[in-house]
Amino acid sequence: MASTRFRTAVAPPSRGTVALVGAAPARTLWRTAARRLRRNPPAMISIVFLAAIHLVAAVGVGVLPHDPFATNPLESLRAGSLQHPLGTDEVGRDVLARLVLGSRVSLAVGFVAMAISVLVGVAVGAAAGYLGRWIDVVLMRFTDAMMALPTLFVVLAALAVFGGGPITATVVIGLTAWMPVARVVRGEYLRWRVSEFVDAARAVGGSDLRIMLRHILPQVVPSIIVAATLNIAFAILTESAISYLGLGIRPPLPSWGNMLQNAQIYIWSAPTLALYPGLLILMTVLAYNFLGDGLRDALDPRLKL
Amino acid sequence: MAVLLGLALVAGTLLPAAGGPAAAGGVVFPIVGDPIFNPWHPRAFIESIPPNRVLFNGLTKIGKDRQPAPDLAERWEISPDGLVWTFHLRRGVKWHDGRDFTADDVKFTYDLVINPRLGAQNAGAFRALKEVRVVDASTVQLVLETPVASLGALVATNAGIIPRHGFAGVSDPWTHDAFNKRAPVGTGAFKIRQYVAGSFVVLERNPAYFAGAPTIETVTFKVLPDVNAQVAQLLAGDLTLIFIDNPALVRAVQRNPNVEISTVPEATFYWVAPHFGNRLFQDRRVRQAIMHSWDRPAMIRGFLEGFATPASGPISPALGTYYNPNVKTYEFDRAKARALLAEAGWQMGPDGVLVKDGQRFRVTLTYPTVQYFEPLAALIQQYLRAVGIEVALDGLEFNQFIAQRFLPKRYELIAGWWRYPPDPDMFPYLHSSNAERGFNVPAYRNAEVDRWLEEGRKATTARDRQRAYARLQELVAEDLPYLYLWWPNEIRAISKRLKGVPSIGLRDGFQYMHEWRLE
Amino acid sequence: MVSLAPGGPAIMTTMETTPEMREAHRRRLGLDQPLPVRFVKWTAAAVRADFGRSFNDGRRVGEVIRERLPNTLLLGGAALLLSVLIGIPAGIVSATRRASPVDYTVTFLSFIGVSIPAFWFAILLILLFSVRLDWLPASGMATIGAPFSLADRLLHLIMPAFVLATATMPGLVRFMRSALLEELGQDYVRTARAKGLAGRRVLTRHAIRNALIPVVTILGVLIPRLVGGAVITETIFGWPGMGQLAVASTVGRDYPLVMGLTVVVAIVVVFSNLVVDLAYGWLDPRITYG
Repeated sequence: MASTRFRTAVAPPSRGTVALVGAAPARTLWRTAARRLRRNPPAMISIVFLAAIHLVAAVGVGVLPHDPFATNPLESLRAGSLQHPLGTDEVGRDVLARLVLGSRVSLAVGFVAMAISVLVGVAVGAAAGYLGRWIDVVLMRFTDAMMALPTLFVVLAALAVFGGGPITATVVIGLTAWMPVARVVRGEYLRWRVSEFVDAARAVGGSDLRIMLRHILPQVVPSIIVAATLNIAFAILTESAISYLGLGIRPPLPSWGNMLQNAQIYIWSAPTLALYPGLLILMTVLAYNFLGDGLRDALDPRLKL
Repeated sequence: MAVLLGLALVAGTLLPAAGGPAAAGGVVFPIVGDPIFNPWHPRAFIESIPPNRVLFNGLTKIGKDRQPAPDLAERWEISPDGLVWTFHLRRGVKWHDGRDFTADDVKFTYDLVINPRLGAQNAGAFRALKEVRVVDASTVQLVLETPVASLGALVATNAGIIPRHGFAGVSDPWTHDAFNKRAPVGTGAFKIRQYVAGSFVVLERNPAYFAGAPTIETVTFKVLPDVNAQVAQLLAGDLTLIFIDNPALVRAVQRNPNVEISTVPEATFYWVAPHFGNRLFQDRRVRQAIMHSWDRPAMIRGFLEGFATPASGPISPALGTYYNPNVKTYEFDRAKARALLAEAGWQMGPDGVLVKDGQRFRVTLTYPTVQYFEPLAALIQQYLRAVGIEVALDGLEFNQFIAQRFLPKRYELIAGWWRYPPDPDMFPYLHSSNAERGFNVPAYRNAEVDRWLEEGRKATTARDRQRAYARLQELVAEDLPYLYLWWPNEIRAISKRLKGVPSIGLRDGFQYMHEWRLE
Repeated sequence: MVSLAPGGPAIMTTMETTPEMREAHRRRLGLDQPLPVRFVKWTAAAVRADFGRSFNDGRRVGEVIRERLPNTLLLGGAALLLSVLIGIPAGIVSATRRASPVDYTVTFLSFIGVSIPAFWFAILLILLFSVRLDWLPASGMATIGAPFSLADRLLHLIMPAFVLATATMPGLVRFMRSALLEELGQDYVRTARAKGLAGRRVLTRHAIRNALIPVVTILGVLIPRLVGGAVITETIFGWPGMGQLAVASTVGRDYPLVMGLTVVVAIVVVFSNLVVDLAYGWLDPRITYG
């Protein structure tokens, strides 16, 4: 799935020799990367797992026999059975159905928060790296300062101001995760700014914005993809933490984090309620981390941490 | 990591196990936050009630028969017009610092309560209190604007007397940390020994306690907001007793041979209230239909583990003779609910939601995300959906719930509970004078209900009060200002070593701690 | 700033509060003044290290934080120590036995470490060590009523410090591993090996020492992570530190406390980064501060 996304993102600029200079090496890069990735078992297993979980999240809700919201107090806290394979929760809702819907919610929050962090990170990093001088200094000091702040403290302070809820939570998570993206992107822009094809683009009269977006950005995409993959992992984990604290996604809409919070009080009478969502978070985040790591090795062996 | 796990295992076996001996000398009870040792402090909430009930005494306390009983006041009488209550104070009572307790302390305390600029906790209960008169060192009068027959119970409940000399020269009693946060001085069975913020408070026995010296050496209130941690520590013997707010936890404790679960009926009712300003609910048949639409016995059995009784009104059977069992009740009957809704003009629409005059029956249910309200709201949503009412859920963290919905009365349907002193006075919750502001949550106005509420307050004999409240209960069961859910049982899990806890609400029971024994 | 939240803290109260009482509170807390006025006042006072009074219990914010700060430092310090004591050797072993089962295990475990939700991990540990085995206390800093003893404190520290360390240890392992791998690829190591110096000595003498220097810099990244992780860890283990306070004050909308905490946390982080920078300069003489 990841590789198809690359291709559309780096479709070679349509005309002019300048564009071709940048585009030609990109194709071989993807091929090499795909080859490297195939030799990385953890990354391949992760891709399969992630494909499966995203598929389930996308179509599972409609396929399953149970409504994730249908209650029945007389069927509460049942163990797994033929009818309810993973049992029922405290008001008799089907745990499997809720996990499936919860996957959709948690993954969606992860994706949107990641997108926000990438947008902000790329904008800040590109501006700092390409424009340089005082803009670079100001933006990077700001980035460092944000990075020094402990994420959860910032998230809590923001939620104290704006209140909880899915949208606030998603935005706040995205806004606490852009700094690593900005750093990586800045480094790349610093590197490419002085490259031959950028000089060539300038020579034919390309504006700064055009050069930043059309010429350099495609070169930076591999690094962005790596950072984005790791940021999804971060966002899913953070969402689960703040939903766990009761400040994120609100029930009855399930998310992995709030299902865990909900399950905590039943840990004595129905410990499996806490087991499943926790395992799902662990496996998904783990898979994204393995994938991000594998992509990094495959796309850009120079990058570390 | 594996190495560390190994290390942890080794350390766990080599070092002595924690817990155990600490609890041996005393009672340990969990509280949910850092307490404030002043029952009237605006920030003294549920976390502060337990220590304050042991440190301080009220004029009266709740007796084991749930009637007001002597505490700092030996006896009291009420003027024929019900406006002047004269309390005769017990003589020879000493504060923890050895000074004498006098009527001046009572006046100091209640002057503080009725000072509108201070906004004392619980001041709302004393809104009719006009003046405090010191007759002599051991006699004090509370003068009321209107009769309040329940005053004897009000001065018993979270209404501890604080010492005037403890606040000498203090301009703002709420920032007087030396007293409120460090060294409170009370008259109670236990006095402060040590307080570590965020951790615990240790109180030690007051051998000079006027009602008899306690046998327990110390009582420790441990700051432990997490209910699972409370259960774990009770099972490990680190806690002596806990409240169980959510019956789901009962199963965790039940199997332990050292712990006993006991329940007492509470003077509490859980409700869902419509806002009467909303036209959807002005038809009584709609309210009655909702009462028929939910299966309360099933919810109580499957969800509350049986620890509640379906409520037929606000006054719980815990109030004994004031409770009237002969009122209209509503059983689970969807056909009846649908019929009532149809009578009220609601027709089933194509999507299974009722329609009337082109309007769909869609309401928002507001609730606080405390206790079990989250799953409860999900249940109600499904029950109402089944009779054609679509419910959107609006769950808020407790403070936001209060600030944004409850106080400005901004809701269509709202869920909550009232816990009141063991007295049938429902004036704050039902009287039309509290409809705009105050605790009349449904903003309900009914002249006849008002009349019986006033009669109940004016009545000077138990028989007259009983009659007034019996009539009141018939009226509100029929007319349904609140949609009653249930009367809960207070569930407490108590170590079998602890004896002598009376069978009344545990918070009231704290005032008998000098009679508790550890074996 | 934080007072922008709708409602405001004056109404944080029980269901028993009347509107008159609410007004009285707002006045007492100064909430009846316009927001800009409050913010200017707060800033002016904060510069003098006066963060005002907590809405919750009316005590000075500085005093409340001062009670909690040492506890968080103890927990964070213990977690950092655990991370270093385990993470660095693990990284070294992983690098020197690259592509061995040990390397794979360490790598896998460190991935688990960054991916596991801390609260879930904590619950599992409590279930195992406190409920099932009854070896470790489930919460708090000390056995109440017992006189202070080091053993008791350590017992209370083990689980929270370990959970907190999982937030930082993996980063340290990975960084140490790659730093050492790079160092081992350097010419001087190969030369030394070619000259017949025993592999082990080259490793300990030079490569590890050189690899450790950049590892110091990562501590600067780990410290905010530790402090952030303390929010969850302290909440679950009832550890009376600043993280627990942050959750309580957010839920309770105790704005002066939230603001004070944020400032203090930022100061702690900046200060520890400064220490890290100085340590780096001391370790690597090539770096000078002018």
